[in-house]
Amino acid sequence: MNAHDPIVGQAITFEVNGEPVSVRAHPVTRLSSLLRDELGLTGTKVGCDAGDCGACTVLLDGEPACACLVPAASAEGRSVRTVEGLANGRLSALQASFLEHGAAQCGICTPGLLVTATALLEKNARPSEDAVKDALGGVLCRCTGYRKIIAAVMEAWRHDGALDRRLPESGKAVGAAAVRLDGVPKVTGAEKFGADGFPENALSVLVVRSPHYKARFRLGDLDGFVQKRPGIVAVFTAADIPGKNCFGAIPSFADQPALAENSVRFRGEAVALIAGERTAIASLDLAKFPIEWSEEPHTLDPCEAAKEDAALLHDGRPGNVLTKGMVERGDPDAALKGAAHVVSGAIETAYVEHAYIEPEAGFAHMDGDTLVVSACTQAPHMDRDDTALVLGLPVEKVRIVPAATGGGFGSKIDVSLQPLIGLVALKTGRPAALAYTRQESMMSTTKRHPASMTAAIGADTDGKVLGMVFSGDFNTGAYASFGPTVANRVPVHASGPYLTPNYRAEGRAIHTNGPVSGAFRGFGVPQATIIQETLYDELAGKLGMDRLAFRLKNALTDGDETVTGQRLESVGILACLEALQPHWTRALAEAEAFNAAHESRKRGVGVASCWYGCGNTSIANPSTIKAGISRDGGAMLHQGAVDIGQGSNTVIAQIFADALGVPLAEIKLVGADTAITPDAGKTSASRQTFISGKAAEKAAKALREKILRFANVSPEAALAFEPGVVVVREDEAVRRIDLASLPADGEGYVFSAVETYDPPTLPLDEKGQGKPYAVYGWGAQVAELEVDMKLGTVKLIKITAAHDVGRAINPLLVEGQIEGGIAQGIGMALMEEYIPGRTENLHDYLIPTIGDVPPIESILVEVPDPEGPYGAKGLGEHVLIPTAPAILNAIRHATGVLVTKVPATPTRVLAAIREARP
Amino acid sequence: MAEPVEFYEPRTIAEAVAVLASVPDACCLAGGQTLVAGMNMGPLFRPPALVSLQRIDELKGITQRPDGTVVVGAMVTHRTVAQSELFGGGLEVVREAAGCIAHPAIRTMGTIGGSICHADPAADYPAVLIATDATVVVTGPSGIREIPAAEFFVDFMTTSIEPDELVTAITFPPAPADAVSVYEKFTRASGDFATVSVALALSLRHGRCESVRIALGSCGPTPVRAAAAEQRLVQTSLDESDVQDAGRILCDAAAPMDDVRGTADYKLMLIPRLLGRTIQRAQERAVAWRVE
Ligand SMILES: Cc1cc2nc3c(=O)[nH]c(=O)nc-3n(C[C@H](O)[C@H](O)[C@H](O)COP(=O)(O)OP(=O)(O)OC[C@H]3O[C@@H](n4cnc5c(N)ncnc54)[C@H](O)[C@@H]3O)c2cc1C
Ligand code: FES
Ligand code: FES
Repeated sequence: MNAHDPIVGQAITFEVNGEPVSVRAHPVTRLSSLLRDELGLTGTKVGCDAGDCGACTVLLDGEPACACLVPAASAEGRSVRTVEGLANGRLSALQASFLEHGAAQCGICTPGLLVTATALLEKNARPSEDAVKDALGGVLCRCTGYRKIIAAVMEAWRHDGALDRRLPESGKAVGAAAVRLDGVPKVTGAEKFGADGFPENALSVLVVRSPHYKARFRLGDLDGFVQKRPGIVAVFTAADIPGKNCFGAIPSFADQPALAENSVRFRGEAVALIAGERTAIASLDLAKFPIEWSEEPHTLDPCEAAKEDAALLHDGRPGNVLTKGMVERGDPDAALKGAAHVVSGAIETAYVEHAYIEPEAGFAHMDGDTLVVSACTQAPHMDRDDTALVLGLPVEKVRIVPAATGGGFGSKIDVSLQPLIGLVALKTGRPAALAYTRQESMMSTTKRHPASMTAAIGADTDGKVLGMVFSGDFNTGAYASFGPTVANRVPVHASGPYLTPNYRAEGRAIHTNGPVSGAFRGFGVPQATIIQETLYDELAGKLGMDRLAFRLKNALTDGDETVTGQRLESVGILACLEALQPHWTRALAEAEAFNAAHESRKRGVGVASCWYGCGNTSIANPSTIKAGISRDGGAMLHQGAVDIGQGSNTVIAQIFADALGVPLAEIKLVGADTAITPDAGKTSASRQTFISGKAAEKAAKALREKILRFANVSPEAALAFEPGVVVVREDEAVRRIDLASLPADGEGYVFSAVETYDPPTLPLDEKGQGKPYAVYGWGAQVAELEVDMKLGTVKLIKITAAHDVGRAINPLLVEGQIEGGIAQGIGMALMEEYIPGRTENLHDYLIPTIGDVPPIESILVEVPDPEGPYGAKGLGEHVLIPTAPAILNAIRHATGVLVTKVPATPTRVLAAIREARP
Repeated sequence: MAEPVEFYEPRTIAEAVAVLASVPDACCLAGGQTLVAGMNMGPLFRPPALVSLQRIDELKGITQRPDGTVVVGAMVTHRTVAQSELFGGGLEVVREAAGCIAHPAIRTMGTIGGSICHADPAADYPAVLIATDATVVVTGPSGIREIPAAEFFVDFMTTSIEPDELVTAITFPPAPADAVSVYEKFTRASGDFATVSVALALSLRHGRCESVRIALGSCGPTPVRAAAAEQRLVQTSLDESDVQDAGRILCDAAAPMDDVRGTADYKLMLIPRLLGRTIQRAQERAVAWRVE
């Protein structure tokens, strides 16, 4: 070949997992695309396309490399190893170790971690913790908090690859640390996430988005644009939307167009869709898209937006106030006036990005006259309803088949691409596929609300809290999403889990032209807890009391009334705080000793608590679970509570197994799929274990009763399954039910049951009094850290977390939730600040890496709840709430100064230190 | 993904130069860790023609000349530099910097030539080349040029090479036998680009500073070096006041910007403090060395 001639398409020859392959491709085709699109090896994931996330890591001649940055020509002649090549007939020791340690939650990061760690272990079979952190530093995980990953890699040498699933025997499923039932595909690369199952003939969809925060626009000659470009099939705009061009997570506040009409309210808003063949879309230059923008003045600042003369984002929302929430009890003003000690303060927090490693992705196709959407999601039934509404279809004509979801944390509750790809499939009749780019995902999807809060708390001379006032403005961005939920949830929780007889809390959600703020683990409560818990430290200081003792003195107990007047039972906060006592005492002593010996570095210890109501606030949120016994003897659990890594597939099956009275191993999961699983509600508000778990318990009991009644035995009888047979034993008597001889229903079930559970709550009155939640979960954490007084950097040493989960249905998964929540709390406290237009990628926007999460000790407290299934309470969001305030309190303990703007970056920590001692 | 990119894969430096000279807007492709990441952002960032240096063996080695000069081929990866035995003493800073570029997967592919040609002021190599007084060897249609590092980095992401030239090697002159060197990188999280970095090469005799070179990364459009700061340290015993004075002079020479990694004020404040830390580490290294 002559070096002066360009190489166009050529056969790229290399080795994949030991096999030689030859693919015709352009030499700059990325290795990630070669593997995924040409060779069908979708175990290698794409999370950023920029080298930042490591999800695409493969081994190139034995060394880790980001497949998204390797041109095919650079792979020529080399050996490539992917996750698919790790298992050799059986799981590798590392893969088995990952499963047994619970190191894979959603699983999207798992392939990258596994191959990177495999390279490490082949050189160093028993690596130290530091060696593991160095090797895996480039692979991000947003779910696990990394500690179980570190353990899984360090312990892999003990393993021979024979997986011990730890499947419990009959009646012992609840409380067993079983390996997640849906785990194996997560470590083999077989799991199909949103972008992993695109049909060959699918059209690619590209979304044209606003580069402006506020603008009007005029579309030009779209037909001409399409005709001039071979491979481009169609452009769709708001004018093409057959239904109501308006969606929103809370129907009464729905206000967001699927495609903007004439004007946009935030940067990243979708204005048009371009559909075309994959290659044509990949090389399309959007600069030529016929759209004319006229930018208008905008505001990203809620203070500005709330001013009287500010331009309104939405009609009928004066002052740009989306909604207000309020809780009032007693006479807080008089209480503060009469208090011996009063402290007050202000805290500001930033936009936080969910930063799941899987950007939104999925495809849609027509199955007859039914639109089928397969995409990552936290809320299939809500997706169905919103998609049907936008597309003008009856809900029965939309089917949502959730893909595996690579993390959600709240943002994948709202629809994103579902109506968009649905529109293309509906209009063209061809399958339509779309995977958001990282930037697109960050620009266009929801965030945690930035909060600007003030509060005052007063106590008597004994250290009893007398009253509190709180006011918080939450920047809800351009559209409603879950803004109302935040404005309402915060006032209910801002007291913290402490007895507060006199109280007033107001929350406002205010529109700006910023990104839409929505659901994010805790719905505003993590922000509010920062001000409450930092003020508690200050108050303890004024009283001269130990900070933990002050909290113990004020913690809610059984029979106390909350700030909404709800009388509580099974309150676990005291138990959590007491469990922390020895750690607190030790940590304080260690910090004191360290500080006596060091000047430029200072250690600090902080504590903070949480309480959190599980399920929606005072509104119905039922879950329905269906189950049946098939003719071949399978116990089928239609489990529609989407498992986005948190573990509902396993936990709900554990509850179901015990309630049915059969071993967990017998349970077969079906779904989630809106066509075959009933509505189990959204995976949010820490509701699935409690609410769907309870529905599963009820369904199992109903099913059991039907079988026992058929067999005419007492409730104590034991059930067992054999192929085609249910064996019922009572004392010495054995009865075999021959399933094949019995009639089955349309789904092939001989016995079946459907049960719904909706937690009993009461509405809040105009003063916010009532019973907003049926069940609360409780927790407290101690953070230990070291501050470099010259650089303002914070090094975490340890976090000890005590959480009352009522009953740990699966302790391994509980720990996974705790560690993952803490990691997100660390990010929120110390590093994460989303700035629209500036941090729309994972190198400017940093999330904690494997080096940023210190050892975490989890203490599981079990104060059973009479309402929850087997006493269980929710947990998923609770775990994040105490982390940031505990860290800020520890920073103040170390340095003497409180950072009032979160995240507490080195710049801010140092500025606070310098301000305090000029 | 079909892309309208012409692709060339020369086998020799001469062939590469010939392609660069004849194909308009052709651009070298080294490890691709910056270039491909840019191309992934959209058609706007895709050059019309790429000249891959991947198959040019002449660019891939590290060698040491008899006089101690270390010659690193442009295509030598960050991983290879980080593991090389040839960088010790006054050149240890090179190895140390290479080892803290990004994370392991990037170090597998990324190259020293690519890094310096990209000339990102937040990158790690540029300051190191200045502190070690390295020379960049460039080949073009009119032959070979040797460019002192200080003349190579001319502005923000801009170097003094011509579009038809290519970097073939970087030469690091031998350091005095008793020299030590240190790379200090301050980041928001491990794997991040530097908020501020300090590259330092130092010779000590009986605790006194014989000679010193200091360069700062992320503190302006190009690496920052201040001769006056170095002079302030020479022939001192590097006491706190000496270091503070030198730090102040460096701050005056620096022009950091506010960005996501920190405010300009914060970076200015970091400079003297990191300098102090770097010098302390160098002193410790010198002591450890003598003990060995
Ligand atoms: C996630 C991530 C994190 C990173 N973190 C860091 C970091 O912490 N510190 C750091 O220093 N860097 C960092 N980098 C950049 C990394 O070091 C790159 O490897 C480097 O900047 C470019 O080297 P390359 O070989 O990949 O060059 P390429 O990307 O191939 O090329 C870069 C540029 O140099 C030109 N070029 C390349 N070689 C030559 C040559 N021989 N002659 C003339 N022109 C040439 C190319 O045309 C192109 O313009 C990071 C990159 C990523 C993706
Ligand atoms: S997809 Fe390659 S690093 Fe994120
Ligand atoms: S398990 Fe790591 S990102 Fe979900």
